[in-house]
Amino acid sequence: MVEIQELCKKYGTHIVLDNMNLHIERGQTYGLVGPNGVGKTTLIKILAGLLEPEYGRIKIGGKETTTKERRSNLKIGYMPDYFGVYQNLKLYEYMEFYAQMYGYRNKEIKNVIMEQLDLVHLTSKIEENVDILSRGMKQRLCLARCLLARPEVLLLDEPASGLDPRARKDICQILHHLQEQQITILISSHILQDLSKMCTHIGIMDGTKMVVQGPVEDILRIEEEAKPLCIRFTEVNANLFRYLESYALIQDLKVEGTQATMRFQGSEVEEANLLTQLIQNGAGICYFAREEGNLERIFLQITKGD
Amino acid sequence: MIMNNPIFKKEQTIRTRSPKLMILLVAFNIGLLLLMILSFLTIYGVKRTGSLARYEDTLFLYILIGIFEFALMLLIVPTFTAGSITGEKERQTFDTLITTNRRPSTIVMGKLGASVSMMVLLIVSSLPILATVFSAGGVSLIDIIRYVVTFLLESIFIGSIGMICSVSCKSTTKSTVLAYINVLLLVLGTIAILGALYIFIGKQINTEMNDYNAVKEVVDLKYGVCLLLLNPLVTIVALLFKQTGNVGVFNDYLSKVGSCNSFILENWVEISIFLQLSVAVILLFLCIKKINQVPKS
Repeated sequence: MVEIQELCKKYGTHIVLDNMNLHIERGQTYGLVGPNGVGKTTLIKILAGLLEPEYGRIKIGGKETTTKERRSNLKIGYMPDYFGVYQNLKLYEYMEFYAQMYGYRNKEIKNVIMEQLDLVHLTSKIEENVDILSRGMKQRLCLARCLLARPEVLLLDEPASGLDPRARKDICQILHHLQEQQITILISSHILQDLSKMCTHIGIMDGTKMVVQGPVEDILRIEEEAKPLCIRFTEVNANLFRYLESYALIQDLKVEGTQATMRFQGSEVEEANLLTQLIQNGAGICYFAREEGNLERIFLQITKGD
Repeated sequence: MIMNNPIFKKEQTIRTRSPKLMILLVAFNIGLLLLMILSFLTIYGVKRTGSLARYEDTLFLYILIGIFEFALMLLIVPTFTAGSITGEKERQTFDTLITTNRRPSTIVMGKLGASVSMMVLLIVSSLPILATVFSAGGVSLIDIIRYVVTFLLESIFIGSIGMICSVSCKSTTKSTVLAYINVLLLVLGTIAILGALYIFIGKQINTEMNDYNAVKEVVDLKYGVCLLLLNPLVTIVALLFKQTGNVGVFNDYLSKVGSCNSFILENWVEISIFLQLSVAVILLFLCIKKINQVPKS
């Protein structure tokens, strides 16, 4: 559905995107991750037709497009990271304005507005002024605005930025609903926990390139070494930690309070043996398990960080 | 057509809810009213003791109010239009506007239309004050209508200057300052250029002929005086003088500076409006082109 080939973008002499390649199939939710300033917003703006790249080919729906074509293409919905609203305009009037801008006729407008407001749970706020809505409501409103044109591709730049956990959960639920409608979604975000739950595919940017991309499960399996083993003890025990440090199959031991995290290079049988020995040595263990692959850890491993 | 423009409708909705509009209306009309009262007292007040009132002085009042109202328009319209595009960019609503499938011309015409409609509101609200001249006669309803139409066409011209400044600048402050500079150059600059040329040429001739009286006869900027066709203030003055039977006075002033074609003199208002609107069309076309460009950064 979205294909980028050899995309290059620079600001003056500073190269932001260098031979970027990206492929997103219809119905996929693609998470774009990278340090601040790596070019995520630039990439999204180029896809939305708001910035001209130096060179590269971009195809939407299998058809190669120019920047101006993408800008006016209603199949592409764009939600910027920072957006403003108008003062002295009610929520319904705000949506009505954009519905008219998208070319809806007067008799269609009310239905399409209420449909999108219902999706984002803002129907009770239609008489409120948009400028006094909370940040979370404004984000949902902006999403509803994007969906007015019934896009096939949705570009969301930091949709959950600055939101509390409840508001982020609301956004995630809405995006799950959109996924069911087979809308292709590209999200850039720093909240890796949400991305790993929401996205079908992830792309990690670093420097000027996409360094890792693919299905989320494959990315999580990228961790080169065994998934870390986490043990939580009932009390701090210095002898116990010295024992762990000297254990042959344990590497990179990290201790925080009563929790020890380590790379265990043994098999499951050897893992069970470790557990048995710890208990026999008098350790009180309340948690002993392998951690699941963690996107944040992968991100920190791969990138240089902020 | 403009009534169906969503940008126009949105701007109207927002502006009419703002207290600034009410303050502007009141201040505008109070300003005109004070001028009217002062002028009436000046014209008729000193004659309280029993001498005849010169009703033709009421026509002078019409010219004065007309010019004053126009001068206010020259101050107000740039403020509205210079912030039209920069305001959207500063509010971070511009990107969402241009990613709809509406053409940039919709945005430009909507913004300009909203500003002109504000001027419609102001001038209609001031009609009762302007209509006081009917008490003495000499100015007909048709003249008032012609004045209003010319006023609105000039506001389109001034508005287009504000619009081009707005698409060219990154901040509302800069675009407003630039718009005012351009309006100032147009209104005062054209007169200043002609004045400077007149003095310069006069001095050249004076040094050659050494006869000040001869300078008055000889200095002739010829069609240079047509530069004033682009001056909106001169256009409205020409109209007001024509409506009050003072077209000869206007022509005399112009003739002193340069001898231009009698056709131009006789149709000064129409020709100047045509030229100014042509410039406005070019400026608006440039605005649309600029908005349509995809920025590199």
